[in-house]
Amino acid sequence: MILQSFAVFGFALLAGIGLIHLFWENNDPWAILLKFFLGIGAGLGITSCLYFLRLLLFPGQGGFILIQAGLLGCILVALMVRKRLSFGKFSYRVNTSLVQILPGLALIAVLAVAMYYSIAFARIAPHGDYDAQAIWNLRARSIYRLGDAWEQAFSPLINRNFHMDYPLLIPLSVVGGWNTLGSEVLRVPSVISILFLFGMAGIMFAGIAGLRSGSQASIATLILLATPGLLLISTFQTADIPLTYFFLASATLFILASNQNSRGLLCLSGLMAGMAAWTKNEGLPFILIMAVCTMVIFGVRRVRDTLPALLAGLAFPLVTIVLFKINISASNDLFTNNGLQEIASKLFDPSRYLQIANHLLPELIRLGEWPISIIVLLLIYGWIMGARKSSSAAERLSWLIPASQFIIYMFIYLITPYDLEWHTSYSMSRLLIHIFPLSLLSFFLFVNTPETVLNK
Amino acid sequence: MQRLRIIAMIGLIGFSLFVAINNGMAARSRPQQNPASDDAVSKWEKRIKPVLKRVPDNTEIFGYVADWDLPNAQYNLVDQETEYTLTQYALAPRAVQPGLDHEWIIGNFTKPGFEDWLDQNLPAYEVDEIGFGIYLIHRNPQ
Repeated sequence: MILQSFAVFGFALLAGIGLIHLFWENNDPWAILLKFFLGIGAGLGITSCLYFLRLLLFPGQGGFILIQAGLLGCILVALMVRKRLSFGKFSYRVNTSLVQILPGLALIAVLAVAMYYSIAFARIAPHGDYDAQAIWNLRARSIYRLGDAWEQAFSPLINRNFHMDYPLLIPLSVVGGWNTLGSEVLRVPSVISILFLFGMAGIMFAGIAGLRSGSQASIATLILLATPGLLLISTFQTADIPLTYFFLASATLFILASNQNSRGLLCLSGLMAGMAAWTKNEGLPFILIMAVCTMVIFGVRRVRDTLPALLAGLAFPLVTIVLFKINISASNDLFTNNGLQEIASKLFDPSRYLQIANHLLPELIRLGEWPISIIVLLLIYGWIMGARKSSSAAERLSWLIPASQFIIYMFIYLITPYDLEWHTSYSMSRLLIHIFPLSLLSFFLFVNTPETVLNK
Repeated sequence: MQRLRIIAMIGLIGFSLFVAINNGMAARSRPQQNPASDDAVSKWEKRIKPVLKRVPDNTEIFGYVADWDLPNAQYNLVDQETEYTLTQYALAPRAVQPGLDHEWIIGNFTKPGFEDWLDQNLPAYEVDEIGFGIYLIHRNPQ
């Protein structure tokens, strides 16, 4: 059943790869690899948006495979029209230096362990963690089992922890998979989690390989996949890892767009930011962050060129989100019984800042559940290896993206209507994991590569 | 400095490998590696699902009461919350609402004396024991 659960998304993945290839002409080996991993999120994201529109417009729940096939067909036609159907000729020389091979071998070992871990947990906990049972898989089950009456799945009567306003990329992907396979196949949610986890690792590797070097990419990716907390969260079948995937995808595309002065890549960055918002509400402020970064890094003078490109990519997921919010009217829990006056009083309460800081410091030290703080290790590593001076503004300022998302998360804690102690204990480690891969990307663009320092 | 950099690289890679191996061992040592054995969620579903055979097909909402409703009962809040969530998960898309306000009510009791509490809070009812501490309470039967 696990192979069938992968196969059911095959057309979507191919369509996603094709879409990335349509917008980005680079046929270097690292770029082809990056397109493959970016295609996972693009394909699954667009398919789930189309599937939501289908549910709104027509009765029943069938047609998930047809939607994927239709999307793939359109993209193939577009590629043929633009004569981009092949990846062209390319040759790749394998670098046999020790500085490339050793990290590469270590990465392969860590990758194998991460795969084993994911598959083991898919068998041990096929229904995911508490939040999957309370929110994500519960939503998928309710929608699937209700058939034509799927909108009743958003009834406030279904579990007080339901978060009805949470968007639908993951639940609808699960529903689509189940409808295609004809039953609630247990492996479908696990497969989606696995695709996003290894997709994220692939983006990290290919992105840094293209921007820096293969050895740097290997080191960054093996740290990512060795992170115990990240691996564990990936087995929860929640939207946290898919969200993290889209954050990383959008940031990587943004940096490439800036370096290559490409509106196509900027459009794709916008698409990924939009898909982040279609995955989880934390993606909504991320859209704003990417819009501001576009203005800051590309320059205000170029706003008339660059911002429309980003917004063009955002358009389709944003329209889907707006339709979702209109059709499924549910208030966000952060702003229910939490008016402007309450928010203002919390903002000026110093005890809340102290309480957040008291939680934040140990969480940062424990980030990712490494036995020794990964932040300390990376700081020492960075100090020894030295910093690289980059001519690319996007690379130099890429740290703004995780830093801004972090500030937003702390702001949310400041204004939360929930008990602050409970809220920080319950979610802070997960929220920090959202920005960990983004921070790793920035760090390894900043730090010298092994080749640079060893060849000096 | 060159040597220090080599040590730093090897150290970081080596430590990451060590942590990764620990991750693998942690996954290996988790219980229920046998695919034939049920995970906790599936086990709970098997306990709850027989309820559906004993209610009309058009039942859309259940009440839910448990140890946490009994006065002076000792319970683990996390366990109670988890079991409620799993009950909702098992019975989806039917709603499971805490309380006695619905015709059909799931009872999840491990403590004695729940019948006395039901007598005090329900005017008339029937109790059907499902097993494993799960009860189906029919309020005001005809």
